[in-house]
Amino acid sequence: MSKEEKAANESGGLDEEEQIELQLKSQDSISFPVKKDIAMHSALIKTIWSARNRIIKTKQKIACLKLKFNETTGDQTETEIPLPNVRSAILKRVISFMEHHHESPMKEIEKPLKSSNMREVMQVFLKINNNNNQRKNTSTNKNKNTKGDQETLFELILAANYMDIKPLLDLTCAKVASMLKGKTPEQIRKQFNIANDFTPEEEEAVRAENKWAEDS
Amino acid sequence: MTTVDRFGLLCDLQGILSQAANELDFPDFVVRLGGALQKIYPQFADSKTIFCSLIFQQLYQNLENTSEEALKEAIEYMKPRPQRNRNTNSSNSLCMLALNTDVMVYVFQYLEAEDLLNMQKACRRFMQISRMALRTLFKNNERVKMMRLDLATLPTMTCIKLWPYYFAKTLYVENCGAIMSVKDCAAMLQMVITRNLPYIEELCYEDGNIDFYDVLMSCFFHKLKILELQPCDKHEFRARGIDKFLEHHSETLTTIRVIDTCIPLSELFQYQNIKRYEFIGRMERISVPSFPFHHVKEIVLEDCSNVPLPGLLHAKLEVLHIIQRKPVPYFPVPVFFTDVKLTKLREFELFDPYHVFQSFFVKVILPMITNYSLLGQSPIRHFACLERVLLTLNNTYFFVDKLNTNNNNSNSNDDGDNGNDDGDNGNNGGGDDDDDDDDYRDLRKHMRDFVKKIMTVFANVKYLALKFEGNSGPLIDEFQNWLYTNPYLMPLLLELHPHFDTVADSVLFQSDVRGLCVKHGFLFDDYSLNCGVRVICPKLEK
Repeated sequence: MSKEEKAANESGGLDEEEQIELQLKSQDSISFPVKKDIAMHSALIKTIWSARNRIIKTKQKIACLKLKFNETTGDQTETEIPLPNVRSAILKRVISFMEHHHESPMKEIEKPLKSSNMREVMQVFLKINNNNNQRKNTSTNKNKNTKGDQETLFELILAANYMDIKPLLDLTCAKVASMLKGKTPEQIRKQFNIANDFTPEEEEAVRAENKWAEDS
Repeated sequence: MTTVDRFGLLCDLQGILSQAANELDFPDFVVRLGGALQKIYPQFADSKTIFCSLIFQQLYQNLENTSEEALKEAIEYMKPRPQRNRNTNSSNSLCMLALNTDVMVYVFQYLEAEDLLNMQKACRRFMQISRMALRTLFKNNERVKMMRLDLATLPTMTCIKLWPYYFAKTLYVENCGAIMSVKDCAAMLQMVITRNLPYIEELCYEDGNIDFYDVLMSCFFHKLKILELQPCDKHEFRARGIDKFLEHHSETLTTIRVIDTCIPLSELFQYQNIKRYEFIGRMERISVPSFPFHHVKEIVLEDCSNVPLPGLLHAKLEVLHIIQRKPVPYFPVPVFFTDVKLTKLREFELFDPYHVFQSFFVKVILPMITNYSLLGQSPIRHFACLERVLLTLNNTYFFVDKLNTNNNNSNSNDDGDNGNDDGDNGNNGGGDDDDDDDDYRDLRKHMRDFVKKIMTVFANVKYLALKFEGNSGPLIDEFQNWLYTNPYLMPLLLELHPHFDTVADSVLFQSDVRGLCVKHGFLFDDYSLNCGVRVICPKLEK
């Protein structure tokens, strides 16, 4: 077998399949090209893709039976994966994470969070965040950025949950947990702009229930 | 059309509803409007819960018929109240995220217990989610290697029961009062009781491998009152240091509860300070140790077998509870039971529907009651100290006892009731039916005698609970008749189970009776009356 033939064989079959580029289409109809093997980190995309493949194969069989060999795969629409619950800005970050995770898989984050691995959590999170959004250090924009970061973070969690990307879900959830960790209820309310919906009596009851923990 | 629009059209409230800018504001608006209307129309304030659950319906119905003035008033009432923070509502993504419970519980799984407890106080939603996460954290979490309980601020808690924490190896308990029960803690190897723990009354452990040696190092157990020994055998008894534990704490321990445990009894009975022994379940058959049991004051036998009862029954015994809910093929009741004198008995309970202790009752208790005249002794001498009696009876005892006492009939019938029974005999010409009638009359007479004597014997008893099992109709009749005619001998607190439907009112009007408890009877609440009788009706079944 010549080198050319060998190369041709290698480029076919599975390799060819892996080199497919999927088009992830966001809520606002923006498509992002992503290599299939990277996109497969999302269990949702994996499910959609395998279901679609089954349909395509069925279609091919029908086409073979009908001797319509021209109707084959390769349409742009066949590689398009609609993700109607994810905005383009968020999808961009999700893709960034999947690429990063594909190159250097993330270690599992220990539960509950310990201070030792917080640094790692933060580093990975900042890395994917900074790829898309350079931090502005001006003091005037700080609060706005923090709020924006929070919203992005929460959207990322929802996107990770929707697209079923466990490492991203772990990472983002751990990030939120790190923001909650060690804070008083008042600090939490202030940081996340949560309204205190307890009546004074209820608040007292909850406090009384947990008094034993406060005193220890 | 949105809910807001639809509601506005229904109630012609477009102008008013302009306050509610969007769907998210609407529930808040409705609740506040409901609150305002509740103030204006107090008739709807009967029940807050009902009001809240029906708020929409009530609002709809009432807004249709509400005058413009009343609505304006409602709106005026609403105005001074702080408006809901629109930022909180619209841009609080964490709250939006919290709507997805699964995700939020997942987030909370990264927090430690202290943080989760803090989260409970942030808002209601977080309280729900953090409690779910707390449960997940503690139950079946293999990372939980240690449990720490500090109950200093829960003075009302009298009993701690630990859920199955299969992976916990160590248990710390602080400031725990009263009873502690450790169950299903298969991996528990060490129990550390801190010095902050002032005392514990009872320690129970089950299916645990707690090493008592570690416990011995603590000062806390110096006040331990009850030790419950869950299933263990002779080998475990020593290997786990229970024998040393007992030796170490025998001065403070007052009760040992033995459950399905096969321990040499001599090991258990050698400590003179331990006064109460409770045997529950299966015990290994062991020979009766020739051990003086006189330090034992209280014995409880519950569904147990092979306990050296004769050895334990002695003249200094003060409390005896025999509860046998299931039949056992053989329980040794030796003949020398008749020699047993329970002159110091203060409390006696017998629940024995399967008559496992029938011979005990017939040979020990009944003779003391029914044949006292034969012995030439006053029953008071037998039961002078008896204050509390819980007796479960049925007719079967009397069939046996009748046979037992037939020979002494003339002696035992000392109350002159014979005349009534003899009257009918002459009219019957014999035969099986007549014999049966005679037998039945004899039985009823015998029961009457028994009731009279038992109630006389128990005249000093302050608390008497009578329970009737199976076919006890005639016996109940006799008791009831006696209670009707002899109220002056009523115990201070009489507890009747069940079927006493007519006795209640006659009992209640007797000034001697200070308490009456009718369980599963037909006594009604209004029977409490004003006659100074304390009526306890835990559960009435009609």
